[in-house]
Amino acid sequence: MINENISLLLFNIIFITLFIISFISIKKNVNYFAILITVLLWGIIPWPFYYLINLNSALMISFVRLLISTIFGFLFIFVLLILNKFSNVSWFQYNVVDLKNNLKSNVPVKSMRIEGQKTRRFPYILYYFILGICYFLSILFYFLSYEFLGVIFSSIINTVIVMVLVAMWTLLRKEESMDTIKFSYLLILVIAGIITIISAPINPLLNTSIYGFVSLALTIIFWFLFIIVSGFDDYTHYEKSRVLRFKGKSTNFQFTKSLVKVSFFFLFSLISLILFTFIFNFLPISGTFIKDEIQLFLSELQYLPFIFSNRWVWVIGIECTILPYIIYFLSQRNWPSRSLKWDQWVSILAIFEPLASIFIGLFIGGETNFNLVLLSMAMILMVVVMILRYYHEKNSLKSVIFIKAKQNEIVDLISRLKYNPNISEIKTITGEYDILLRTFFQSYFKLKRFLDRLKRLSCVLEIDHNIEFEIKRKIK
Amino acid sequence: MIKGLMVIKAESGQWKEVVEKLMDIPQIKQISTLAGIYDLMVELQVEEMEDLNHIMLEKIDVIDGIISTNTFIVLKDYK
Repeated sequence: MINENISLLLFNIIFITLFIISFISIKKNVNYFAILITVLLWGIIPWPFYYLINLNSALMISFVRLLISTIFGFLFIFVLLILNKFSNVSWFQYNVVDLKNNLKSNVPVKSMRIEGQKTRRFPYILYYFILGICYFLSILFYFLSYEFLGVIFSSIINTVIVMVLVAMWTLLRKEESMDTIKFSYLLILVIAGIITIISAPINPLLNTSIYGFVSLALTIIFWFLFIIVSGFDDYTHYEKSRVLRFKGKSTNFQFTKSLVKVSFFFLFSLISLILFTFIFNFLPISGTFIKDEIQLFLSELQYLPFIFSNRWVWVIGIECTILPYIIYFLSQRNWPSRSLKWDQWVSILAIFEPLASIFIGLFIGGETNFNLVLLSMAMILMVVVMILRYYHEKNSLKSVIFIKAKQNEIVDLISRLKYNPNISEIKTITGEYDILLRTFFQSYFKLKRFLDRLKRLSCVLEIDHNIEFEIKRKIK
Repeated sequence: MIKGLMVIKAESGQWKEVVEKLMDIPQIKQISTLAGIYDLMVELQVEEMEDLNHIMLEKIDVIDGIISTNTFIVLKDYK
């Protein structure tokens, strides 16, 4: 590994450069570039990890990371509250200086709405707790698999399996169909995973105990669960209608809401970590690697001030966690409607995370005992996956829908439609119809389901839909 | 600034020529080809209603291959 001071300097130079570029790209409305930077910053988490793991347990690294992220997340929200009070730019749903209502509308104290579920209300606290447990366990086992199996092996295998599982999940829920492009990129992804396994150094992997593979399997399970559970949250009907009605519609509230969400699940992750530690500590089991890890963590607690004096702790908590999240959510705000959706770009660019981790593994961690030719092949295949995924998302089924609605219910109908992620444009128009929608779906099945739901609404009098093929644009 | 939307039914096999002629009209910002009741949808931006009237009657309606048009004024962009 390179000298620690030079490494830290290099890291900070790269971080500051990426941070500035991300803000410029958001300002210039090239928001997907900000997503790319976020993904890269998450991908270089192994960089501070290499310097921390020599001194601390993986559980301690998870603990300080969550603690710093939680504190800075809530601190940032506090700054936004002050900004909201003293500036003209609103960062909350209420455009007026209304601290009580702004807090009430953002702090998840009651119930959440689950999209597409019969039981539409679910206690928010429980939701955050589930999210928190999944997040904490996924990062803990990810760090442990880094420790046992190395960064390169863990990051590629984790990405490959989680991506395949998520694809299977969307298929199972009939959210997406399996077309040729999708099948191809999933197949290439699996091949990249197999090549990575073949390229891995046999001896070190055999030398590592089964713990590494158990950790990796648990990382995959909890990360997959985290992705699934985090998708259940949605804006409430009240929020939708409220946002639509207030004047001067700033979309900044979306950023604050996302920041509140992430700060809460960091907080609940931290609570889960503490509960997990104490429960496992008192369980009458010994000799397991988790129990050893917990005992190590508890013995390290007395050195907490010393641990916080390590600069890499702040790097992993602030520069690799909370600040990338802020860029991530800022990129979501004011997303250009005539582009791929925000989450489509996230799914495409996510592949950069393991690629960044591989570079860190090679150049910072010195994990050079891989078969580099095979590893390069796996990396090239992952880039191919990314390109195929881009074409898959780009070629989604676009349609233009005209709606004739009951006059006094148009605003309400728009408030229902506004946060549908498959609707890219909503316009009220004069003439034969009242509303125009531009939508994009991954399959005819999903478009049909959407149209059927639309037709069932009592306020909808007539629908006319047209499939959109080619769009020719002029330069403004 | 007034935003207008126009959906067009074109004669079969003629939509490419229609699109080429529409592309020459500077106020048209976007042209989409559709499958459904309509064949094309164009988005226009004009300064005044009179300009919209002028474009519709003297530039679009005179294009060979257009069977019928239906024009909407955009009141508000919600998304």
